[in-house]
Amino acid sequence: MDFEAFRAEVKRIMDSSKIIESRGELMLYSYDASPAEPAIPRMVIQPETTNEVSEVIKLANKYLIPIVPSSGRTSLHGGPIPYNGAVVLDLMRMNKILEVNLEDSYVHVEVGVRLDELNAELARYGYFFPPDPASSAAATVGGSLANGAGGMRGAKYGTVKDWVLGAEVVLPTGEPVFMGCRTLKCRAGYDLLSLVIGSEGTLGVITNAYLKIWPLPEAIVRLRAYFRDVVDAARAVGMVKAKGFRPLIVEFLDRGTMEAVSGYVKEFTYPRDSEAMLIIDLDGPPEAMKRYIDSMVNILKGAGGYGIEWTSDKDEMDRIYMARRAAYPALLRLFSGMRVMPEDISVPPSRLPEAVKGIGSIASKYGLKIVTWGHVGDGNLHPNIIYNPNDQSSVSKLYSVSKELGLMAINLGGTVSSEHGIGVLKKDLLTSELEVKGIAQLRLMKAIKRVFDPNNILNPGKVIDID
Amino acid sequence: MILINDQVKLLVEKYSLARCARCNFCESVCPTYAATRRRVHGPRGRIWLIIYLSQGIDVNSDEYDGLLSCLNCRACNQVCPAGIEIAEAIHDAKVLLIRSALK
Ligand SMILES: Cc1cc2nc3c(=O)[nH]c(=O)nc-3n(C[C@H](O)[C@H](O)[C@H](O)COP(=O)(O)OP(=O)(O)OC[C@H]3O[C@@H](n4cnc5c(N)ncnc54)[C@H](O)[C@@H]3O)c2cc1C
Ligand code: SF4
Ligand code: SF4
Repeated sequence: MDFEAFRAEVKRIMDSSKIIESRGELMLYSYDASPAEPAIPRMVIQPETTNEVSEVIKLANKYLIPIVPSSGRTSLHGGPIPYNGAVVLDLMRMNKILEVNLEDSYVHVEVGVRLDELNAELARYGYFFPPDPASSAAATVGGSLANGAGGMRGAKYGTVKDWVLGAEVVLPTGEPVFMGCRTLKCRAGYDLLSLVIGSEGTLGVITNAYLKIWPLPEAIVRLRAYFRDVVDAARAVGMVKAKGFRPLIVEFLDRGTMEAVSGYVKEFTYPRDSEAMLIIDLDGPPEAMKRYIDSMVNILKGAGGYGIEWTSDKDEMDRIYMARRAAYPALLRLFSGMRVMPEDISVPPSRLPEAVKGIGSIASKYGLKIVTWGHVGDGNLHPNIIYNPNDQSSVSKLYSVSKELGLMAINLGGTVSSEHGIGVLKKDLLTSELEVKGIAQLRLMKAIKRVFDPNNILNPGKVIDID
Repeated sequence: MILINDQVKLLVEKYSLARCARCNFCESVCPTYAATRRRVHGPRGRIWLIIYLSQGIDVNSDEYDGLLSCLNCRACNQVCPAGIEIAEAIHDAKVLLIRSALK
């Protein structure tokens, strides 16, 4: 590793306004939104073109300098943290929407565009990009593709991997390549693009992408129901799907979430005997809505739902959704001096009742409060662990709770990470999951990393360790 | 030029800046970040510079410029899930900075 030689060459090829070296500003790249140990980079570089990314990575590869791609830095598992004196590649200056092509159904976009900005532009054409992480105000296209992000609309529309056609990727050796296609169908050999999506910046730096776009729903109706038993709420989700419905969203809120929201938003009330709440959005042609609603109300009632309300009025829809929207702010504000770690597991939807019960037992075992909501249409739960960052025993309990939640998900046939990724915090859990599914896969993953990145310079130590 | 630590510490406490969840929602609405794409010119960066100052970490004049460039437009306050009065905290830090420069 010859940092001084790297630095001198970077300064020759990059304008000084794109290089950050002062300590205070470097420290702003030492963290993400997770509790992972911070680390200060040696240098931050802000490229504006694929060519600049390529030249910088060639130098990093030549001088063996670890280099970490970075975008919104909203990750929840330490993915963009620059350990071991790494250099950060800040991609936020690559922020242009290059082309919206309705005929070919794609948007061509640079990676530093945030998802909400992208959707604001697409809405002008009556289209949208469906994956919607709760962080979409701050999360970028690049970070979301790299993290394999998903969101509430996942049950109907999947995650980012289902919506990317092709992307320009700079390999860890510095060669820029175009992976995938611009067309909807694409069988050009091995699917390397799918390896890069969700690789958390360990296999390549994505600089721009062709994303599939979809017409905005013609009409949406929102339903809300309470349940006296979590098992009933989970059963309702199963019944909705068994009847052939594919709701746009199915959000689950546990009693702890409702309690927190009611402590923060005065107008929010809920029946005191309810243990769970579901918010369901159905989309489709306006003529079909009445039929959909009748059928849904029957299903929800049949599963023990009560206090059922439905509306297609924008303000009323916002009012119902307030419970979900206010959930994260409520936790941040109510538990002063504490921090919130949004965990992320998935189980097959049929195992949701066991998962929710399991979360309760884990919370009592460690004496930490866990408030759970989730995108239960696809079995994705977000148990939010409340811990005290200034109390070592609370922090170590946090990690034990995270671990047990992951192990429980594996036992129920689920996964330790649905959409947030592995980063540094979930590497052990990934190994546990692969032990169940076939540990040979870990060998393959390490081999893939070595083939892409022979010198292990691109975001080393994330997702897997190769040594 | 270093701000008086104790006063910055009080400021960090007054606005409970430690509540920052680093979600970065604020940066996406900040006009000075949009214009510069430099995190010292965005709310999350400014809040953390203030926290670092309170911990006695030296901050240089370019980084002080980041605090000074805040327009006090309060767009960030509107979106902060932790309810931090970001603009006000930055404003108070500016006052400390200017006072100490005038001394
Ligand atoms: C409050 C909150 C709610 C969240 N909710 C969700 C949710 O509902 N669903 C969800 O999926 N996630 C969620 N997240 C996690 C996170 O916001 C998302 O995964 C997001 O998509 C990350 O985007 P980013 O731009 O912040 O990326 P970063 O955090 O900057 O980077 C993410 C990873 O990708 C790498 N990377 C960044 N850009 C590139 C690039 N161009 N090429 C290659 N690698 C790159 C980084 O090294 C890092 O490993 C949430 C986070 C917060 C704070
Ligand atoms: S008040 Fe300052 S930090 Fe907040 S959005 Fe406006 S310019 Fe940015
Ligand atoms: S919006 Fe608030 S909590 Fe989020 S990074 Fe900004 S200051 Fe911190």
